[in-house]
Amino acid sequence: MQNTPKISVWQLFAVLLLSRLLTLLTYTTLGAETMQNSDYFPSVVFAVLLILLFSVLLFVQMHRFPGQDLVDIAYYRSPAFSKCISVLLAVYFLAVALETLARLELFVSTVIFPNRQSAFLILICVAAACYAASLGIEALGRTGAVSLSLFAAAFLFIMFAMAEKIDFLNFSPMFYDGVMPSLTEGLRAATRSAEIVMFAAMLPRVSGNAKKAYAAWIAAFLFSSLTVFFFVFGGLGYFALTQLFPIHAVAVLSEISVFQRFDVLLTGIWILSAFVKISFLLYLVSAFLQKSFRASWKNRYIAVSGILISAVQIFFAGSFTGYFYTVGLWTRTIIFAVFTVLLPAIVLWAAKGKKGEKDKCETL
Amino acid sequence: MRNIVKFVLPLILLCTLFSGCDFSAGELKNRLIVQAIGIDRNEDGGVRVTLQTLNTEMTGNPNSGANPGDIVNSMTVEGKTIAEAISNASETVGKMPLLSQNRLLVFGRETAEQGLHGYLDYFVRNVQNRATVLVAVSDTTAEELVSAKMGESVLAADSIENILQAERFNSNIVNRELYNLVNKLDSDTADAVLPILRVGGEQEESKIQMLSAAVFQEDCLRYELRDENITALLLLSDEARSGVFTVKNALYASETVLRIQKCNTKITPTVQSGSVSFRVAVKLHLDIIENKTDNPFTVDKAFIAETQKQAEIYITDLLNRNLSYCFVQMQSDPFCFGMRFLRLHPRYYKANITDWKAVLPSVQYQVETKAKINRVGNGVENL
Repeated sequence: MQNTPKISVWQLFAVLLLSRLLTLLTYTTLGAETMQNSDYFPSVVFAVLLILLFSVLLFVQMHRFPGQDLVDIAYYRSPAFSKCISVLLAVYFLAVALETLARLELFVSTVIFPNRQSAFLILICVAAACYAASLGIEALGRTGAVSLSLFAAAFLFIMFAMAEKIDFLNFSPMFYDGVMPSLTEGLRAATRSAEIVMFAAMLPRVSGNAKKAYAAWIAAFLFSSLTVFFFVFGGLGYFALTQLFPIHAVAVLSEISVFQRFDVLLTGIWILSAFVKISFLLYLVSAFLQKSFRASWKNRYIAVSGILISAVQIFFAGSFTGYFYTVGLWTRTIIFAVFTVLLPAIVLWAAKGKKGEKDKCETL
Repeated sequence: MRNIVKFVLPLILLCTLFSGCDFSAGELKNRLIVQAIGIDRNEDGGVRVTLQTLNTEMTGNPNSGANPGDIVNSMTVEGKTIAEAISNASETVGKMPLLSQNRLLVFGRETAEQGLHGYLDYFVRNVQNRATVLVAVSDTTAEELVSAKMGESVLAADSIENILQAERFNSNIVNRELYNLVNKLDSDTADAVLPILRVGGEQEESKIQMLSAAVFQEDCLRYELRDENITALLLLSDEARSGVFTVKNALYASETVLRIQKCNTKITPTVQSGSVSFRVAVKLHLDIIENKTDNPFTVDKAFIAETQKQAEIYITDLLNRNLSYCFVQMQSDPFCFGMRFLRLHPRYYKANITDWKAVLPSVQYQVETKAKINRVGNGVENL
């Protein structure tokens, strides 16, 4: 196996948290069921529990095959099987990149430039992401860490500015319509956490104890989601649910003295986060294709992936954006479960025993 | 070659992406910069929109020597919907409206009486519009208020915004932002409140003042609260930040003017013997700012104690009167008591209450006021 460049667990934590925070920021009620705003708080807790449940096989993978991803593990069975897994994972990451781009496009075309085409911005963003991905994981790790610091600073500033506007009357009673709405929303949030699959894919590329990064990521996700929902619903109340992007709406509301309209700040970090996430996903697509196919085509894989997602987003923007936002919860859950439960289960089961045989051979 | 590309490419990107110019949108002076929007319902079901806009000819070139006119202009346009009417505005002046600078949204009284719901969607949906824009009702038509001239160099929308923001130090003024109005209109347990503004004075130099607070039921203006009743509204909503009121002190034959320095209202909803009940505890920190008396006396502890007692009686009575008026007579809850009850007793609410307004006349309430005079001003003896 070739010597893979690695990043530290905290750089991985930064990139994954940034990726999940972007999903949180682009939260929209479009396609979601309406529910009492306080039900969002338990929904975050349910989401964390479900993410832990979906991560069971990830823990098994970390325990039994430390420092190896599913493609490496599948190789114990056969090279062809390993190639299949790498293609499947590459397609999944490409789809997640496309969804990220679709969310960015929807945001740009409705909030930033409502009267013009967003194609130019998409092209620029994807071109920059392709360039960043071609620089490798170390560069992405460093960018992720810096971006997360900027993100945290900007967000703390916005929340601080919002503090005065918090009105506890805006919170509805919790579980007024029962526990089901929170559970459903929790499942929806969990199935938006592609970071579990990204984490599993990054295991061979991380130096240090990856479990620490996972624990910190899930804790930070819980804390940041609760904080965001507190400020969004405490500040805007029901009005938040009338907006396409409630978290952006709260940034419009925040102000300190003569400093107003912090939405510009949020827009900046939003685009920065999208850039880091898309770069990271393009890197993963390329890394998996490199593993099973020609390794020297790294930049070609990135370029083709970039062209593919740009073309899909530019030419089929309406239908894809609509699909990502209106896809049913169960369809989304099934797709998510395939990549977090079914695929790892098949690979781990297929490699069962084979690793022992191979280790024995290597020892002899 | 590579170094040249590395140098030139960022320059090109910088020029094209970070210049901040959008030539297709036109220059700022060619935009219709809206400062206030007035909405009046037309008899045919359409809408009449009055726009107060910045005179960009004047702001763009104040020293040109020509007579550019007032700092603000106003124009009235009509359409079937607000979007259509605002779009029609550009047909009249040839400029694209820019709503992101709008400070004020005004509804005519008649429009407010017939219902606001049909006119809010545009402002919630439009990304240019701020959720924090102030909303008010005109005593007559929105057109009259929005097109009021307050002097050549006075930004009328700015002045109105200042009047409404005086809520910080005047408890007879109430202001509401768009998101707050939407929240209250949507609620089953609270009624929305908006300030009513009146235009007075000369035609060329109008004076605008706050007349009363309009209370909405569903989305229609139903009744008004004036003067000290607005203070009661703010106290019962825990929104009073300052304000002045006068109490009579019979023992000293004086009238004492008190300023609210700090105020805290705690509303505790309970269920007592099967019925909804509220305990309202008001804590006031007051300053004496004037004593009016014909017989001078020294300000001593006994006087302060008596004044505190009178202040407590006055505020308790004021709040009781307003609660009785709104709850029993009007079956209305502009104080958001229902929202508090629902939040604390959701199970009781779900099991027993289908219409909060129907419950209001039977609601029990107990008001307790604690007043403390902190400062008596600079004079120890009354003149």
